[in-house]
Amino acid sequence: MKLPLFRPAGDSAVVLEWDWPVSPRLNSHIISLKEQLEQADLPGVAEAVPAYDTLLIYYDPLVIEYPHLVCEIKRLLPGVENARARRGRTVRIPVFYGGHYGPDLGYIASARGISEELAVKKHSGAVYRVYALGFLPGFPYMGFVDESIAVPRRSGPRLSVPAGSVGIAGRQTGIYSLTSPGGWQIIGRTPVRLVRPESGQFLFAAGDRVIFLPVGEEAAFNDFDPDNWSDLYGPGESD
Amino acid sequence: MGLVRVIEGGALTTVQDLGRFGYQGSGIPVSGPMDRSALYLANAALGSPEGSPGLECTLSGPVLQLDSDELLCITGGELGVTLDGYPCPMWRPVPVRKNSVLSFSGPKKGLRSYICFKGGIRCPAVLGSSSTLLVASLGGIEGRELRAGDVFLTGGQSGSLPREADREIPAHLRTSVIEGCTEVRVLPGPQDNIFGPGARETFLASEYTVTSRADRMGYLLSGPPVPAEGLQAGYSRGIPLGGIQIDGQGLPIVALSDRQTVGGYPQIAVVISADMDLFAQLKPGDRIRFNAVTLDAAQEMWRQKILAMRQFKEKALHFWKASF
Repeated sequence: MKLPLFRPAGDSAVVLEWDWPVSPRLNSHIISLKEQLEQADLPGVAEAVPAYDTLLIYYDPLVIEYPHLVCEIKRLLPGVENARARRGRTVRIPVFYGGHYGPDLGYIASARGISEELAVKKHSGAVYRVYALGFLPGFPYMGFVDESIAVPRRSGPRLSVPAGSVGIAGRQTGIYSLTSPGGWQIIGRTPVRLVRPESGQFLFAAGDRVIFLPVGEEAAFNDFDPDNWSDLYGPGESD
Repeated sequence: MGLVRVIEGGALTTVQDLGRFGYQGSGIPVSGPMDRSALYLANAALGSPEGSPGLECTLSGPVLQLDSDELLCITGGELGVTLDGYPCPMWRPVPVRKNSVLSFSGPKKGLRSYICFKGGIRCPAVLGSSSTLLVASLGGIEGRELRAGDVFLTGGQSGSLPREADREIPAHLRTSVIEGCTEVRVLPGPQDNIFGPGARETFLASEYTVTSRADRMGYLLSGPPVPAEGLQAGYSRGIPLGGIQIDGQGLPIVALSDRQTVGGYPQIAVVISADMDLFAQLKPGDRIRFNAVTLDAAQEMWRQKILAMRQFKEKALHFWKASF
């Protein structure tokens, strides 16, 4: 695999950029490097934020100099190549699509010239990968939705999007982990609580696979125990 | 232990320590004080442990009633702090009598003041930090800003102030807020290569103004738009402290303490660490110019700043220890 580009991101961070098409393989490679970096426990290296095709690494320039840091990371790269990617889990997420919970489903259907039923079928008929967590604590950036339901973000963000809202932005799909302002097109909602930040528990990790299960009845939505995570996880598979 | 009653919360008063590190990969912002050296120096002057939680007060500070004797130190922006109606000295440890009332008359210079109590504010650490993160209701006092009626505990280490420790924090260590246009030094951003010709020149040659959309997450600036048409920003990625993104309108957004860990707008520049404290004292309406420096220069300035602060801390600690 080609080496990433190293670019300073200010005086206390460096970003590694891979000039490859975004893919599960590349994302696994990045997550793997993050794990190797944590294991290596280099003095002065603080934490790393993986994303689709980048890894942002924070460091303390009083402890490790930039050129030395770049060397140390380059030394880890061959090991990453050979490391087995961490086995991501498969997570099944019940979703109530449309209606009050999915105010933009109708817009997506009409904008793309398909029925709401077909839009739901397209969204729930694929397995997605969690490429990164961010935006909000525990918010999964997932890819990629079928081209037939891809729509840009809303022109202006909503002031308040309820926690659990499932949205689409371009070919990404995501779930609002907390109630917050946001511009993604909202197609449904899950009753599952995605984060318990006070205890540092997150339903998702980068590298997980996600399947959306349409819930037909609103009653079933209300009966769901938002904190019962154990029934959602399926067996892990490696990439 | 000491006890403090909140009579008025002020515009935005939160508990902050040095920040919550290690969870950005899960989307948890670092938080911590906007003016980091102000909190650090206040704790240092008091001989408190480095990461002791203090209060970050914004614009109009709180009104606090101290139910016990306290030793405190107030640093950062000048918000007109008073003790029982009389001006209270800043940048030095101050012994305060039980039943005193601490209040603020309004901003004079800068935007954020820090109140530290000897021994710190007692509040539970969440994910290793007491810093308040409003968006996730984490840390501090119930994860929110202070309100009238709140009560909190302090280390309550009052006693007498050792004579040797009764000294000011040296002026050269303090964040010096400037009247008029502030020069903020930056490094080229990790995506400065994707901008077209003229973008960097516009960004560095223009004067920008802090808009009212300025909070602990970030500041939106107004001014000449940076050309960004047809820009392929690529996928969302991590944003460092001080990272400057150019939004769809071509306007800069500066990422601060409670910033999103990941963002999608292209990053044209990053504010150098040594200037972040100064930046945190800017308020809506203030004017800014960006000036590019090299990585070596930025790191050297940061090193000098950190070493000088550590030196002060060691010295202060020595005086506190010597008195027991």
